[in-house]
Amino acid sequence: MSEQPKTDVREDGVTRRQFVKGLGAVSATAVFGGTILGGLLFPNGVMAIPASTGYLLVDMKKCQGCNTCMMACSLAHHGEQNLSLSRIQIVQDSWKGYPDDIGIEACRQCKDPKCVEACPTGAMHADADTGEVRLVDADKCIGCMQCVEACPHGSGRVIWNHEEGHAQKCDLCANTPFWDHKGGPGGTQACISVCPVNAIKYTDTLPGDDGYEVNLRGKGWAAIGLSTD
Amino acid sequence: MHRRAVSIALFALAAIGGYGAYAASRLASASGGGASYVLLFDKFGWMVLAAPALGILIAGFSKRQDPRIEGDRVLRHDGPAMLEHWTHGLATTLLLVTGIVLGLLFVPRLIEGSEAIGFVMNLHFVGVVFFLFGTFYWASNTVISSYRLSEHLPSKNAIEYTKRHYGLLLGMKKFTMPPEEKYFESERMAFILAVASTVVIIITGFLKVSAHVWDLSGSLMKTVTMTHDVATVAMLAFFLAHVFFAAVLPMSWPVLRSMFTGYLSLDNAEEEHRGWLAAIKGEEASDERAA
Amino acid sequence: MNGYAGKILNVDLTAHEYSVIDTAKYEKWGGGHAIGSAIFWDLCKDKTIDGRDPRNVITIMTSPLTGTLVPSASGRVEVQGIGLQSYPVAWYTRSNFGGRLGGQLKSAGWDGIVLQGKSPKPVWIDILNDEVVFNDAADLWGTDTWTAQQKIWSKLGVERGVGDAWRQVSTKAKDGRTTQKPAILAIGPVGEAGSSIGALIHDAGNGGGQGGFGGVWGAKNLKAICIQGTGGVDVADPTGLIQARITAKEDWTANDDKGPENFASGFGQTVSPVAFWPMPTDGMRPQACQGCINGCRARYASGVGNESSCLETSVYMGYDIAKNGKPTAATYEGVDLLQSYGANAFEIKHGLGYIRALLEMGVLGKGKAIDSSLDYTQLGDTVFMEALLRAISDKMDIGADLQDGFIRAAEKWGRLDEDWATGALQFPYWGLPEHSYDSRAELEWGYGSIVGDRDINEHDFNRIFWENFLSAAKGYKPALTAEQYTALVVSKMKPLDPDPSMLDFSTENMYSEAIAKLVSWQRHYSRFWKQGALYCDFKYPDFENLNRPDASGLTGSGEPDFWNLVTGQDMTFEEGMELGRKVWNLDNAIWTLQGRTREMVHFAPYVHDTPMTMGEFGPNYVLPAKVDGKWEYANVAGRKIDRDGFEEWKDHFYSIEGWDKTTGWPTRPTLAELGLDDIADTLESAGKLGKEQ
Repeated sequence: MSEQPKTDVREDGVTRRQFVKGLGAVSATAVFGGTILGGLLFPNGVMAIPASTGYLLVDMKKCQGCNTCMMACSLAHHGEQNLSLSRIQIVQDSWKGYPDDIGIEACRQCKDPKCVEACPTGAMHADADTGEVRLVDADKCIGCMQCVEACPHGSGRVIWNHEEGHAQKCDLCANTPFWDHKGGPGGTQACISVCPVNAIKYTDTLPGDDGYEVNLRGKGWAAIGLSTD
Repeated sequence: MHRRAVSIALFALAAIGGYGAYAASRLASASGGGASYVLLFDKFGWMVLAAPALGILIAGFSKRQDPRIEGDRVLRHDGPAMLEHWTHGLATTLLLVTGIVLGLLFVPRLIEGSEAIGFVMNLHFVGVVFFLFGTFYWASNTVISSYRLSEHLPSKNAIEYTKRHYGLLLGMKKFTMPPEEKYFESERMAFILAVASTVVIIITGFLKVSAHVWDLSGSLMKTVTMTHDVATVAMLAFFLAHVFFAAVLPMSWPVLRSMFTGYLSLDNAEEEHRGWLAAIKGEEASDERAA
Repeated sequence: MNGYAGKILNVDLTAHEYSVIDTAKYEKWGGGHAIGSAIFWDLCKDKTIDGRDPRNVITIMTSPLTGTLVPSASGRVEVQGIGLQSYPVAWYTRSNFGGRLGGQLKSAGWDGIVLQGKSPKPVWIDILNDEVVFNDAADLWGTDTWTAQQKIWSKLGVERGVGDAWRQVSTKAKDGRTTQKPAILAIGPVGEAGSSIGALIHDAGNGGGQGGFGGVWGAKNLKAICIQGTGGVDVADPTGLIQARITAKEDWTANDDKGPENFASGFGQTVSPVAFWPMPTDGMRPQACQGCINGCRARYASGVGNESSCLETSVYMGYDIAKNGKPTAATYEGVDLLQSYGANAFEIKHGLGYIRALLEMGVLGKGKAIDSSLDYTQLGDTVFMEALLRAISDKMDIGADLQDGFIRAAEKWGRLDEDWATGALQFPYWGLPEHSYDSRAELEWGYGSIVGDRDINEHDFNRIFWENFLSAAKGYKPALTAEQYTALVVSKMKPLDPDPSMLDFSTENMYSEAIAKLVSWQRHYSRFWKQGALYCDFKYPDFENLNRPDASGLTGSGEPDFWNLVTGQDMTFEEGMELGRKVWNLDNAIWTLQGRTREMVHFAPYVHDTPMTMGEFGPNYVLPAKVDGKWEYANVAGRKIDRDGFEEWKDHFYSIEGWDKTTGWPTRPTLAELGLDDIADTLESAGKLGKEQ
């Protein structure tokens, strides 16, 4: 009927209660103190992300809207032709006037990649092993979709893989389990290889903001009677 | 401390947490395009460490009361016990629900869209904070009063008492009610599952949160996440069994009431917890086995 | 299942319910029209019903190649069922359209759709992956095909344009996201009226025009089917398929760097929108069906004329020029009206020709023998096309007479015999409009059409006509001589022996067994490889391909190679041909039950009685022919199809096919050879089994 809890009391030295109090105080101080200090010393951690060594350039006026690039991309990466899993997207509206009837949404491997910055776990990162291509380590992706939302380019270039539950994006075909080839920067890309009109081009030079959309229509195009401007 | 005040404070905190989880998950446009929401795990990760620290600290200052008989009732759970149980238990409920909704092992994610996902992840965070507080609060109290651990762990009578107790319940007259202590031996065996899954969930959970800060390898995270998921299933099994036996079964309602009031009727204690009563009185428990 | 989705959606329009047919049950038929006919045979118990009967079974079928990387075989969809169009019997027939709907259907997890019954009220069907919902179409009925599609997009929260296009397709996480707009097949006011001129339209310019299926849908109260899929299509050998696709592009096609190629090769060309109208100069792009290796349509800066191609682009131009001296906006707007009203382009094109003939004869107009208040002085302007299509849609004025096509209107007016004899009605086979390749000149086109159900619309042996026509116009010579060309082509016509006289279009050879073999080969090739496997007619067969050092195209190896990369089977080209023969016999069994006899198989009188003096492309028609024992590209215009000669030809044809020469019906040995004994039994019970020869 005692109000005192039964504890093992050491005759000398610290009781367990004292130990717990002390541990609590120290850890609380460390956490709160460390957080405040860290917030002051490292506000909004600045990340220096190396530039990619490869980029895709597109000619939206040349695209014939056949979706072959989308089928090739998803087939090479996932073993199935699935437009929802393609890391390049062709958006169309049949009733719009050219050139507003088609958009090619390809990842720009941005110099300041918002998707990488947005990722809380480093799953989306610039991958040193593959020429600093911005890509997703699916094992580390927690599926928060911040990267998907962060892409500033219309029709975000980060894809949500609804079959496997993680984000993914254009890796310049660095990892294509279903296509036997050398990919990544310096290698071949599925979309470029199959595009019937050669509307996608690879470059290793960082384009300026307006440099991702290029004119790939030359003499041959003019010879067919199609416009080259 | 007054139970009501503490309860209200905790509910208020939970409500703030819930609202905060929702508000943080709304997408806000960024200049230059794109949008983001606030993932609490990412921006308030320090709370994942603060919660255990607080639990430890407050345990140090918590005054405990031992079980005692008061007239026709027995004090079974003091204030700290109820605080431990309900923060840990309700948080576990929230964690299980949000964890399953987010998808684990072969259960696919049940919600779509970044805002819905963000909200559920933030709720999971709120659950984590309360869960860690409750767990470390309980663990610290148990360090202080180690008998509180031993009364949870199974004794040498575990199998025999369980056979007799449930054999009797199932109508097998050859069995007599054993002198169960504060917790039934069956519950004490289940406790092992609860502790094991809690420990694994916490360790893997800490690793998953630290992935927000340090660059951990994909293969490690894959293993950690898988383990977290398996432990979740174990926790779910315990949780379902616990809720059924402790709250749904009508014969458990007296004990359920004690989890809210602190008190168990003396009659019930005599019937189902003879060993415990005897220990409170400082006597030997009587135990009549059938011939 | 590699290539296949595994399920076929079986819709009961009457009850607004659906069930699932396991594709495996029909897998042995391959795909497309082949599976469609097999399902029709099983589910349509009475094959003699009218096309508008609720018991008509319409199948919309893809193939395992649909939605895959196989070049120019990924985008087509076959529609079959009892039609409304042909005369005197509306045969069980087929149509085919392109675009992206087939791919969406496969992504949604369906190989095809079966439509039975009749909805009590106008309905549109919403397919989203494995969910199928029947919706009230009251607010869509009466709209044109474009408005209907855009309204459905709006109902589904889909935004127009090519801005931020990602959207979650449902509230379920498992359904995922897409940037693709829903793919919709719809009818317009012409189909809603139940008219045989009604077509099925998808997006702006993909049309299933032949057969009157638009009218069949109208009779079933079905306005539209909307499809969204976020799943994938599996293939047996992904790496092999990717590599084969790359090889096809690099080694077998021209592309813009190499400049344009000749028209002899469909597959080998560079991308080339095919349009007869003058191309606008303010900007355009080629536009292709899903997976095509070189697109044949276009989209324009004005948006007018988007996705119309080939014949469609010529429908109104002649009339516009006749009235206005040159092509005006009407040339393009008239075609857009066809698409949006959902009308059969060929029927309208040659129907307008008939109208003009009637006007010239002074029998059409207000107060005339054919009393019509339409302002025919406006024929050639946009407003007239709209007035005509409106009249058909509302069953008003001349539109009431045109409900079942121009041929039955002529019959109604008491003019059929006369106008069919003079050729004022350019409807040479089964009361169907001329395809531009006059039967008297291009034999396989007419013969193939008349032994079947419709204008074949298969350009296999037509390319060489174009090669000669365009080379003459552009001042170059065909790359291959007639002798080289014919030798090359017949070498690819397995399993037949390479007999060059199969391509001798000379008058001496008109009624020969060799020409019968040509037609028979084309029937079989088309029924499986093109209408079953769904290799697009515009690219296949690839006989002559000037990208190759030996000019030999990929037909013979390409078709089975791609098929096997997708399905994991080891089908040979010959096995595909045999499967085509099997489907061809199944189709003939259906026509037999519908009442076909040999006597019915003949052309319009003008084809038999009047030499061809002027075709769509002028007075000449150049095809390979042996002249005085030497191969030439010769002008074969100026002849008719002699009735007796044609009867001789039919003897050859039925003999080759193993059909009863007296009736044209399949015989038991032929059907048994093909594993179709049950079909033989059915024909026998109906008293329509051909006698063994």
